[in-house]
Amino acid sequence: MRMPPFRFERPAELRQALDLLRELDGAGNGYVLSAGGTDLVPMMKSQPVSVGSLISLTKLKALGGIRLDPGKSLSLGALVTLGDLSSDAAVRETFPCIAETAGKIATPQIRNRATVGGNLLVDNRCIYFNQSEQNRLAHTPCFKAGGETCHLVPKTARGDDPLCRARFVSDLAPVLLLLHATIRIASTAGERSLPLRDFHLPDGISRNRLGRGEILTRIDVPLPGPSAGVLYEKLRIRNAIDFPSLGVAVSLGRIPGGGTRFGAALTGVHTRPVVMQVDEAARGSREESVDSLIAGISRAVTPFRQGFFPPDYLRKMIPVLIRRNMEKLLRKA
Amino acid sequence: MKEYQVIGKPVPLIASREKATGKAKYTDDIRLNGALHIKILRSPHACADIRAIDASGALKAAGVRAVITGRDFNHTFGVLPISKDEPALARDTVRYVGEPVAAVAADTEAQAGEAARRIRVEYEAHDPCLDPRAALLDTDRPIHPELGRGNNLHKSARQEFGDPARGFGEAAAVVEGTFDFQPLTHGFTEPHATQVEIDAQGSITVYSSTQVPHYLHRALAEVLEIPMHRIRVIKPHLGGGFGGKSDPFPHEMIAAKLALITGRNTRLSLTREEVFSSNHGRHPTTIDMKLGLHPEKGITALSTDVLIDGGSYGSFGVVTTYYNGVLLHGPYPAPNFSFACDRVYTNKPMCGAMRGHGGVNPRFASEVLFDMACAKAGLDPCEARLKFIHEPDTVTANGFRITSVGLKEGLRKAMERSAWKEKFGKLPYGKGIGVACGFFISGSALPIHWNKMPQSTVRLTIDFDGGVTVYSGASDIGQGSDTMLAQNVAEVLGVPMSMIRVIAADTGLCPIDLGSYSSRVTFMAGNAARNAAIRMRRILVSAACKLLEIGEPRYGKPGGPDSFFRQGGRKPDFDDPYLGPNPDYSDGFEARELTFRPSAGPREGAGVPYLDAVRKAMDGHGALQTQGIYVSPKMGGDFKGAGAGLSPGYSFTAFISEVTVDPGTGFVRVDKVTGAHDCGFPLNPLSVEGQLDGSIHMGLGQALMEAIRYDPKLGVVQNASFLEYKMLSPFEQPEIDVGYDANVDNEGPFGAKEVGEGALAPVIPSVANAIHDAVGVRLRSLPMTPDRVLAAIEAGAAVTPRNENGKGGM
Repeated sequence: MRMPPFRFERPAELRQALDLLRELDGAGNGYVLSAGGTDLVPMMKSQPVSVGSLISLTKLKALGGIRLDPGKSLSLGALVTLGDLSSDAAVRETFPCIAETAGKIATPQIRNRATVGGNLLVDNRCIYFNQSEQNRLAHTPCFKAGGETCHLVPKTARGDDPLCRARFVSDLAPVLLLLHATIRIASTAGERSLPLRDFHLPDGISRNRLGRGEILTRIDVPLPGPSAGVLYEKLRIRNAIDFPSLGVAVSLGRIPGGGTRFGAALTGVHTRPVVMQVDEAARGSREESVDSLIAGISRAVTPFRQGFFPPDYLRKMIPVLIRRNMEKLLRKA
Repeated sequence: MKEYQVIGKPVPLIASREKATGKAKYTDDIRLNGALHIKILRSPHACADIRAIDASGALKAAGVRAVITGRDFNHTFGVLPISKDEPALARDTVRYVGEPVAAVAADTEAQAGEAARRIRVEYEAHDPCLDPRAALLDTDRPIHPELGRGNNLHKSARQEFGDPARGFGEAAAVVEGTFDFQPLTHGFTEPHATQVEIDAQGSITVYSSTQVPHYLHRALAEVLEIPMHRIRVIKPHLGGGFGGKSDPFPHEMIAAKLALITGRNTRLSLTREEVFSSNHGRHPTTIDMKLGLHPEKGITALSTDVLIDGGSYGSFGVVTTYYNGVLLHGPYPAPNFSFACDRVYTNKPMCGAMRGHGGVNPRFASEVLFDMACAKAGLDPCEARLKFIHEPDTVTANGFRITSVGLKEGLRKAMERSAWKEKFGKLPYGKGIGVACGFFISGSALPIHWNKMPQSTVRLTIDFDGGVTVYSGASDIGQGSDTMLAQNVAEVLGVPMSMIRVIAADTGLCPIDLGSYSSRVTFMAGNAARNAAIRMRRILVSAACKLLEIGEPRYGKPGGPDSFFRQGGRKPDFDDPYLGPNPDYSDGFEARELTFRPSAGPREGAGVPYLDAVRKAMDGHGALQTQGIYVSPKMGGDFKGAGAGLSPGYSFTAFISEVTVDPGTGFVRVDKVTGAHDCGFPLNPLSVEGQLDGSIHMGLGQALMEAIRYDPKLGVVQNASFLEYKMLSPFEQPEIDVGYDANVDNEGPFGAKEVGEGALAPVIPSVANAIHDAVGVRLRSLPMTPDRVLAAIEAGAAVTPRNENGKGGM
């Protein structure tokens, strides 16, 4: 399979990259940003239309490195590969759940190239959209493909939010959400930072708040994390390769002033990651707190047919995985 | 057991170094001068009439040399002479999404792709027929109107033996069930590719990833309307077939046609998605089966009613239809037997042969039912199987000649190694152990083109350098058949493997072989190679005798106890005019030293070097050449379908699987597979183990996760990639401990039988039976995905009382 031709740029400095983006935007020329390219390249192969310019970020030092500021934060460069993340001593020491989650993504070959930033920005997936040109000829084009329909929810109309139900599949997002990570975004106007929980959007096309001309540079995780930590479990038919059919992260921490805080975050079953926390103090008992967490977060997601598992089954697995992992954390606490 | 020099030793495949270093040339790696790139335009509709095709835009596009459509072909084709129903390019109708409609040859791949997009096809789309049950109903738009039927039935097979009603009456336990199976793809690594080289005389050499160069050769001649001698088919290195490259394909016709039209070399390679569109994989199947078991008599009756969804064309479907029934005549006798199978056409890519062809799905049904019957009759599932496995040298109800059977001892050992007695029914809830057996052909005894040619012919030459060249039409598709041929020749001639060169799967150089399918190559081409080597050996022995000035050793008579086929000493039960006498290795030709040493007589112990013998034999004669063949013995009954499943030898398999089931999520982990496979004498243990591991891996894929998903309205494949079509990753491969004790088959080459396919089927029911042992539920649909297992547990928990281990009843 060959992809349509494109222009290749590899700026050496962040500033150059941002200037280049502004220039391309100004001229109305299309571009895509590429870090590891593991998500992007298959997409480019399945599209009949050129992406315009492919801007490789791999030389940008500002986006690299893992920096530990003891007692304050762990800062992850957007270009850190999942492989490095899974084996980094500082990460394993401070947030073993991040290293473990990264180590379960895709395959070793992909983890050698794929990056943290790329995982947070990974395109939403849908059994109708993530198809070849030939396959899509059999369907009328969907909203994400520039058409006027959604095959998952055929009554969707333009203007609805979400317009596209393609599901969010990042494994790291639910873990980083429970760790209260913030992200840094650079543009020619300077750098801004925002909490990760405000970053993702509920629509499978717009997906997140990364604007034109912007580059995700770093992810900062505040220290310390929840006292009993975070656990992540992904449901998938194979223990390698596959995106999560359902990913469940749970956390257990203390509330300043007493009591326990139960957290959960989901991926794979909605257009965006969903995170929720429940304080035991407010709920009376531990069981009631977990029940209420499960009920709340289950209400917040809408799994659709995604290929392998039926949506009913995925919905049934949300409480199973939350309870199991919460019990593990409770035993640890 | 006889000790051999090469046979029975773990021999690395002769192409392994080339493949591991990336030097091996697969079809797509070939670089022909100035080859035009071909792009195939495929139908986006599952069912449509083609009203018009306007190729003018494509013809005007840059770099385009030719555009062809269905009008450029006068003949349809198909692997079976009885169902040549497939066009190279659709003519008036399209029958599945992805069917080739037009093809472009252009200077570059990008130009060909761009031009294909400019072809305007006007379709009149109709509602597709996608449901096999609906396909049995009357319709005014049959998919193949040329059959003159008012529905979409392709083939019906019916057979009955004994008295099934009486048999069920005699049974101590009668069980039945409906079993459901999904469509599967073969999952080979190398997508199909074809390149065509054309010479100034207009003769073509077709390089193609095919399991059967001979069938492709025939089909090309017919479809292109040029004589076979102007076509040469070569199979380069091939990255896996599993049945998916055993038919002639449209893309092969297209590439050759465009070479003939343009006078230019051509090339094309399918994408993975196009491989899914071409399919030829396992048929979606529904089986209603009933089995009666008696604790002393075994299976008293077996009846089965099968519906298989063939997709849009015939392919091997007629054979598949029969195999769904006839392969149930092993591994246990079933004297009272009734079988009905219908194959229907639907508007989906065609199904065909896939590893374990037609025998895998019914094996699942019969082995799960056997387990249920054991539970009902209070029998241990392993002991009952042991008791009723076919005895050697018997005949089945439908006339299969069962010769060697080497499973009982293997199953006994597997029971011990797996601690079956300590585990079955005794493990904690969630842990289970299950058994299942299988049986498969070592080559189909009947050729699909009816003729009296040998099924395999192998030619040997030795020239002045002493090197031995083996010419065989058999296709090494990664399974190691080239190595197997070399081993047979090396063993007989006593030369090292390094002196043997195999030239195979080239119709311009090699004698005809019916190719790599039905697990026939070791048995048939192996015998042919051995036979050719024996004849060559006699030439060399004769020359050595001349040098030593002694008389030649006495050889036995054809058909005598030392004849080639009769090495086990059993009396022949058929005559074969082709087979020469066997030197019985008493000719004193010592393998290790490459010398000829008479073991008795006046020159006892005197040596003649191998090369001296070769050169003496060449005096006044030139290069040495012999030919060996294989022809199946006559066998089988005289009734409709009697030929289906006839084989000169049958393999037998038993697997004991251990599983862990997570009752909260329904996930099944297969922890270990212990078992036994009777492949006769294992010629190459390294290959045998590879085939067993691969069969288990592939079988577990079907058991746990594999299924092609079609859009239920449009008929388009939704998971045409290896990301979304789930095959086992290495993490899901269990620990494997499968024995293959040498059990010499009297007719196989050096006693060998098949190992490539038979072991796939039984692993699937062994897992289902282990799941039942673990959590007390019977799964009757494949794949046994977590959602289905969980649903069964939830449904079962409501109705089935648990025993002390928390396990259900039957």
